[in-house]
Amino acid sequence: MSLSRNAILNRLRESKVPPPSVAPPPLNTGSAKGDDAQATMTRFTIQLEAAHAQVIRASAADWPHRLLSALPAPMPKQWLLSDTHPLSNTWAAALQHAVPDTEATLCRYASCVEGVKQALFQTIEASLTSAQAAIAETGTLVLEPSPDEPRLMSLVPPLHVAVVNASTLVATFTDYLMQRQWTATTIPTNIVLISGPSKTADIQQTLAYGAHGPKALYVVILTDA
Amino acid sequence: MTAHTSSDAQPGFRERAIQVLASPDLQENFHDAMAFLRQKRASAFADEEHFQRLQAESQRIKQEALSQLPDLLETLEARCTVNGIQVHWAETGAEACDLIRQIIEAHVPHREGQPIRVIKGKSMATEEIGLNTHLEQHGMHCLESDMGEFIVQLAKQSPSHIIMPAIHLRKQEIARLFSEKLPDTPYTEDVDRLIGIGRQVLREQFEKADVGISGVNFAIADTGTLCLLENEGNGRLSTTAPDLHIAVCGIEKVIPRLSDLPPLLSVLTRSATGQAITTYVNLISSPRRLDEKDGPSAVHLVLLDNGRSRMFQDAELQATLRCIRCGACMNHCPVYAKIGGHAYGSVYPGPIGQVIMPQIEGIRAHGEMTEACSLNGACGEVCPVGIPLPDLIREQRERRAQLPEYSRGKEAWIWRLWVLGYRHPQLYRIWSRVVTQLRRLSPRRLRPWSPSRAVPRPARQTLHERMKAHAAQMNTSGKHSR
Repeated sequence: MSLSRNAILNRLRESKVPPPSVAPPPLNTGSAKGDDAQATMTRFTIQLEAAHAQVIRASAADWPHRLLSALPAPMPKQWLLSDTHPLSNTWAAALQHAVPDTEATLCRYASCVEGVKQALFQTIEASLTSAQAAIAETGTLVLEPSPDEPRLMSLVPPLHVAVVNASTLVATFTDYLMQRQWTATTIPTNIVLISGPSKTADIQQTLAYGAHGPKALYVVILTDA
Repeated sequence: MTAHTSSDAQPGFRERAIQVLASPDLQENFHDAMAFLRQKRASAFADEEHFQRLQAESQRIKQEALSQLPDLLETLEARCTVNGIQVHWAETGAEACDLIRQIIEAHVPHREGQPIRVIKGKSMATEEIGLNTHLEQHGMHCLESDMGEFIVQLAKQSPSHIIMPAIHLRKQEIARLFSEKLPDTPYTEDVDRLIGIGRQVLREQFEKADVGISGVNFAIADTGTLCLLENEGNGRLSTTAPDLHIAVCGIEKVIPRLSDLPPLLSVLTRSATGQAITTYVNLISSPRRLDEKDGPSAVHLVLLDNGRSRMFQDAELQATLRCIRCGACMNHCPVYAKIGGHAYGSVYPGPIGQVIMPQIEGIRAHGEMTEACSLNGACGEVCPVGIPLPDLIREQRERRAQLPEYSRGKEAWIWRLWVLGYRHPQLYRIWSRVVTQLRRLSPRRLRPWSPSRAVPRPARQTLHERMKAHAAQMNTSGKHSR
């Protein structure tokens, strides 16, 4: 193995064809400041809706109520929720109040995946997670899975609800990277940018949703008002 | 991949192209699909200046990466290793296959009578090395999970396009395939239901798979991160659900820093499918940590050379290592749109394939396809990283023409005579006079040109004679008008 490594690196180093020299990267300043927050929010919403996601704007107080009335009928009963994240407790309470028989079917992602894998793939209908940030330009949610909200939560259930704070909205992906300033030691183990429900156009260029991941994506934007 | 390697027994490029041209259905499929993709791209770059800006920036980043390639690869290796991703190097496809099989056998416990289950995200690098065939020869069960790849695998075919693998099939053919090959599946042409059927089959496999194998779109050196783009979610599933994830990555995929990613993402997805971003962008920097509840417990990165370091040493071909595999060149190639991907008989079809396949598998195996080019230049214009494809295709043709077996052929002799005539004015005049004088004797049939086109006939006069006559006329009319 190390033989191949050395052989490859040596061939690259001994190349008599020096690649043309390159100008240094332009100083990255992100997008212009002073952008109208309202316009940025509008762009985010338009982009997400164009990608077939459902967008719900609500305050911290009334989001469970708004979400309940926005969800499709029949209301999914089998939910996968984090066992530590505050949002999931709020949602669990609202669900139990609105749909009394959900209590028995709430699944908490408490142990390692091996313990919940079968339910996750076979019976869970929906999940709710937070999103760390939102990107207006492309209508994108940034999820940084954690022990609180593991990687598969936002992926396997057919319906995914993501809750994001309006204050985390940035104009572009570059802006987000500049904000986070990740290095090799601080970057999360897994990051996923989500811009709509799962889709494919692999059969005769016909767009179909729910190829593998969520068939439906609901995005709750929490505003201060 | 046995289906791809040319051998004497299999029909050559010309025969395959002729076969496709005899099928109006296939041509219609490709024609429609290419028109669709071209239109999508055009609307994503409605502003030409926007495209040029992104193209310049993307080209700069990829060029910068090439200018430090060995160092960046070492940085990538070091950062990945610190993050817990195990890095391997493979000089050839065969070595990569062996390596991957050994990683799997070491990780997955042996179960008597039960094959190891491998699920794959879409990856051209694994197509290139024929990984499925290799693993299946060793008793493993490999399943493609990208919908297009799944369909193509079920049909026992190979992808005909690098972004849309099943582009050559109509929904009726897929409906028949599903109802014949999948148990308890009724015939339906409803695309939503067909996708639903595929989803169900693959979901069961994702739950049980022992190993997930994926490609890599960009390997980010400064953070040791693997970036993977997709719309379906199968890439996320392949890299998250099984306990072992193996990523196969050409050595040219490395980029210096995380901040280089946004322009490259944007130019890739717009060029490929006209999207501003794909539904999912995965940034994988580590296997499951101790406190995490899911994700693979081991992640391996296989850095694949397979001819790339040779291209790096070649002054003309080095630019091809900037390729980000968007497929725009094939979508805009009039020849590809006519004959489709299978005719090329190679993993990478179309203009980029015409340049890199002769490098990977040899000019003798893949030289013929370099002639399938009208030199219209469209591929070069749309390339998001500014690879001068038309020049490189010409370069490949020239190299092929220098092969001894080519230079002994009839065509080579005709060209030698042509060169002679055009170098010696006397000879040229005599020749063109003879041809115009004897124009009535010119052949009425000229294969392979004539079956579908009018046979060109020499003019009554040579160009020189006409110019002389024209000049004389101008002289006299000039005198009159004064």
